[in-house]
Amino acid sequence: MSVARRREIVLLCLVAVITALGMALTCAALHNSAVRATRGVVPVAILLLVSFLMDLTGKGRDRTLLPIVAMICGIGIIMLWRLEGPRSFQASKQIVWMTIGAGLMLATYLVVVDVRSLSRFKYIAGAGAVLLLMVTMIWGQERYGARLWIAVGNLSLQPGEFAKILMAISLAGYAADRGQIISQGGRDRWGLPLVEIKYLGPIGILVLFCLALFVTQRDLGAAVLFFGLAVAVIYLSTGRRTYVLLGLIAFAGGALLASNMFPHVHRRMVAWLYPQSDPSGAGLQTLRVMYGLGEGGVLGTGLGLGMPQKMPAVATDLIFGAVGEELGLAGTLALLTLFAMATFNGFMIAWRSRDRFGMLLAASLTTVFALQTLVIVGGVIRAFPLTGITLPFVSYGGTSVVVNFISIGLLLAVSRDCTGAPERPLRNHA
Amino acid sequence: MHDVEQLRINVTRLCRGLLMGFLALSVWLAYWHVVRAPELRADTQNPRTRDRLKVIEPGKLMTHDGVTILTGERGEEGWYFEYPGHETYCHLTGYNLKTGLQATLHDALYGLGKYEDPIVALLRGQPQGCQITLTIDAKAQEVAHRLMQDKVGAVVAMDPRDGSIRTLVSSPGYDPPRVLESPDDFMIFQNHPDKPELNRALLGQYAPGSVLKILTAAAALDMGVVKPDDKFTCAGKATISGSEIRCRLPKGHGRISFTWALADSCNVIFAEVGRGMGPAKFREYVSRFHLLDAPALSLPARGGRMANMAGPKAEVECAEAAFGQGATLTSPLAIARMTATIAAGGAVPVPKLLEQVKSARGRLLARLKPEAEGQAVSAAAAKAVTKMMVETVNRGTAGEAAIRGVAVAGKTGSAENPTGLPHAWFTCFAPADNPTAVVTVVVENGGAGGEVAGPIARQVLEALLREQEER
Repeated sequence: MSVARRREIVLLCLVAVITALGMALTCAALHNSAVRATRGVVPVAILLLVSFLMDLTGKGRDRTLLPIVAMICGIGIIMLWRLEGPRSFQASKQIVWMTIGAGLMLATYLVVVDVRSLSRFKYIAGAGAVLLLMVTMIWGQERYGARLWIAVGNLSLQPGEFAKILMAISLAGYAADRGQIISQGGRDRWGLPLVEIKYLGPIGILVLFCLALFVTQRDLGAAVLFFGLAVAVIYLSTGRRTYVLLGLIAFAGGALLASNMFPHVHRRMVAWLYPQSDPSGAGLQTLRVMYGLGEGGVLGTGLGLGMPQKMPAVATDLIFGAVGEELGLAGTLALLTLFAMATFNGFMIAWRSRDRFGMLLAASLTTVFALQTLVIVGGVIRAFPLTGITLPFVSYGGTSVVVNFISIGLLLAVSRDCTGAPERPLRNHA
Repeated sequence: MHDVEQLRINVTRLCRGLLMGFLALSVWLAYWHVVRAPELRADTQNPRTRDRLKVIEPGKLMTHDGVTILTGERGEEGWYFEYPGHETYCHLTGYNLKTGLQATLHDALYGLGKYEDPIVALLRGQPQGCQITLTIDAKAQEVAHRLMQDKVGAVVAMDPRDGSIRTLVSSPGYDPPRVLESPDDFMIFQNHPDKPELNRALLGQYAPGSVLKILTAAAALDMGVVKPDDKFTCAGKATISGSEIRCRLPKGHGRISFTWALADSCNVIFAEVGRGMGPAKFREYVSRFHLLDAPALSLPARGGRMANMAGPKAEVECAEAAFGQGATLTSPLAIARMTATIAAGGAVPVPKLLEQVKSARGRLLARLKPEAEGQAVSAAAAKAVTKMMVETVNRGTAGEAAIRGVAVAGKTGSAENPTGLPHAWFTCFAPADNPTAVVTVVVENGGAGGEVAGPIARQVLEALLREQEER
């Protein structure tokens, strides 16, 4: 057994122990059955199994990402278990979703033998993303003021979540093909390679179309993600900060415009800046989360000993607030660090990749993951207005968990391709 | 390969940018978790504050003699307060967490803040409320409450030796559970002309009338400007700096001693004595008695106010204040304290309401410490005034307060006021040679102090003395 493989197994076992301890503490505080609590370890066990199955097809892949994801999943299960009411089984359901997700992650890893083959689907993926978003427009159900769900039998799915992966594939594929032209042709004017803007056309059209769909569906969080992804891909393929700056200006302008055009956006803005102005309405979420963070302090109230139920939508959008109350600053920083580690690891996979597409795909998927974390955490802790999206692997939500696992599967597939890539430290390129 | 290298650099930079985002959020998290946390926890809008109290077993409020007047009960929604004393103790307990001792002793009742058990706090366990014993004497309180039933006013009783308040009754009162029960009953407060929620004993502001002559007499004796046996002449009225002062008796008292001037409550002689002392000196004695200071109790209290006696009308203002009229207003507690000062031989006792606070585990957290705020008058002057007040009960206007076998010192007051009949005052203490109990009664628009307030004061005094005999 290689050193890296042994390390992965040891880390996963460590995660299992930590998760079991957390579940035990929660049980003790809430007087729950200890037998039921053992289920919290199930996702970790499945990831351990998945790690073995992945290794059947070859040994070369990233060994750090799975333990990090497992730890985030463990924290998610502990928090959902803690928030469960007498008749809700969100933690149990989430375990089922995680199992499905882990299975799909394994399937993705096994099916995508050569990541480069995915670049052939760039236009189909783009069309697919647009189609998925249109599906919700036509058959969608509106919940919590947004039209994001479609019902399939008893289940409800969020097609928009899948669109994120398709969009990443599409943008990465397009940028990988055209990247050379984009970065080398044309002259600079005012610091901008003006000529090549026409090559960015398809990206722009795709993104604008998706944004329009999101705005009409009132899913602003996803709109921010897509926009951020597009800016990131443009930056990656041109290396020009001017585009990032332009993106930020366009974003600020768009946000201002949206705030004036859409009352629900305006309410969010007001709730962010002046939560006290409407403490029982729009400001409620913001205020309740702040009270939770204050209650938690540095070390938290302890698992099961706080009152996170005082926060609305605490199992989904605001779950980070529950972590803040019961685990305190120590817990939120630990969780945030895990997300940062996963992000760093994703970019390491991109950095090690030997071909443009793999690199761009890994970077795109990681960017979506990181942006999603930053947007929801920042929204919850009032760094910017709150947009309703999930915290990857922690918030309750089937589609989100499954999609995030699939994108981890893709990342691992990229990492498999690039063993033997130059082992130079990252900072040499700073 | 150059192209891939370039891309790799861009990946590095993008990674660094996003990780900076994580760093920024970490700093922002620390800001909320650490810097803003205390303020957020104290925010009254925080729904945790209310719910946190429901899971804490609150402590008890007990009287000096062991009667429980406020205690926790466990209901379906958690702990809440019961009021076993109902109306008798309503102004002490309050009717919700924002009124009465429930508000001011909130932390102690719930074992929070500085009353939180350090071990419990360290282990983040559930706090438990403290057992709080008040200085109130349940028997005297009940007697006073019964006697004040159909009257508007207040009764304050005090132990002059340590300043502990034995009785604190304000009338009309209310029944705390009934106020909480329905919004209709809450309307009692809005519609009732007599303001039942007002604690008249501590916050009432009344003209003191003749009971203030105690202070004037003590000050004059202390200064040596008069002696108890000095003779004065009262012609029924007197003119001081152009203002006319009328006596209780229209024909006047004639030539009488200073003792009799107090005993039969002669305004003219006291106005003359006050003027003789001079406004500055009189004012100084008022402040030495702390008559106008708001005492620091566990409940909100007010002292009083008086004309400032500095302008051109100073002499008149001083003469009027000397027999308790003019611009002077005081609370019943302030008069009780003034009386207790005489009873305590001139030392001004600091009123106290809390006897002791014990943690749920029986640890003594606080206990009453007797305090005095200086000497208002000499012991000899206090002794002389006591003798004059005994004479007032034995032969003067305060006869209603006489108790067989006990020397009672007392003084009546019938304070003129713009709202109708005079406010009836009575303040007294006993036993005169070794005082252990002071009682002050005021009945709004009650008429003559001796007839209306006197019997109430006597019965409360009797209850207190009986209690001490049994002990």
